[in-house]
Amino acid sequence: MMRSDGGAGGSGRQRGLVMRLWGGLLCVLWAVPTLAADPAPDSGQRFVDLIDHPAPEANWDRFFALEDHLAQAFGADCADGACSARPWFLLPMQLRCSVRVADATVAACVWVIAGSDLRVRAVGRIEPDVVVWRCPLPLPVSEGIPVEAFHAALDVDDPLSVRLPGTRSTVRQSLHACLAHPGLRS
Amino acid sequence: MSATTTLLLAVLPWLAAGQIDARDHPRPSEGTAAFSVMERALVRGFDAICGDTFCEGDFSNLRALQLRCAVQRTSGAVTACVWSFAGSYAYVDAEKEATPVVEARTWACSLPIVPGTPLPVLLGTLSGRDALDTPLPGSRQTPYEALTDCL
Repeated sequence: MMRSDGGAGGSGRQRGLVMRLWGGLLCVLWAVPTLAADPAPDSGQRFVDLIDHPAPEANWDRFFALEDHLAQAFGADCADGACSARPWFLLPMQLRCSVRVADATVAACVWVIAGSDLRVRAVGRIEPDVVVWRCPLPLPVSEGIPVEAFHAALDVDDPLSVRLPGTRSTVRQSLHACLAHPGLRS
Repeated sequence: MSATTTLLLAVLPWLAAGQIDARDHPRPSEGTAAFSVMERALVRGFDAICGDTFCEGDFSNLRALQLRCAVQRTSGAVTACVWSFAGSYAYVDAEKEATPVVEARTWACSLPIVPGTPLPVLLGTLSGRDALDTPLPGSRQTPYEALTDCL
């Protein structure tokens, strides 16, 4: 779905790493006096980032490998002509998933996709149409998918063709449905 | 429909337009390769400095999307260039909702093209290693400085 005639992406992961390291440092600085006051706090966390399951950053490599895998599949679909019906150059920006702490299941995932259409008008003006979609991955509504099963299901050659357990549509079908809606402009 | 008719229908809009996409100059698609070299050079420069500059802001995940320039079809003079970007920041709210929160923004940044700049001059100027920090032809302003005002 990504047009092959232009555009490019950067290394968001390295930037994300820096931000998370700073965030982690700030958390440590904040936590020192807090822990001293309450040695056994109840975190109250209902959800945790999939990156941080089962411990902070424990799933870092596997999660970003999945994000890359999905993005590559997205690009391959585009190279096969799946993008040609849409005017935008499409770029997968970011994948983020939550894990329900109570049962260690993947509760929800959002795949952020950006689209750009810069069209030259006869009068010399370039009309920009730059949008962002927040596309959910298809997951069961009532219950999540165990983390291990989630990763295993998508660790295939064509992850977009996967229909996750308990869902009716494939990742590709869900993505197409999402991109059929107007993206958000800002 | 004959092949000639099909070709004419494809080319007629190009012939009628006073301003065209730089990738279609001097003829449809003939400028694509040279333009892509310039676009890639600028994107490389952006990616190299983003972590220490623009990506330190609210959107650490900031990506260059697309660069397009308009040129006069007959003279090849560049009249405008726009560079699009998107930024996102997604996180899990530990105490509230399962669905990750996503903050996102887009930008369409104009490069300060000096009117009358020939397309080959622009391509030659901004296709090198330091494209992002190279002043635009006839100007003191660099693409980096233009982005600083925009992003």
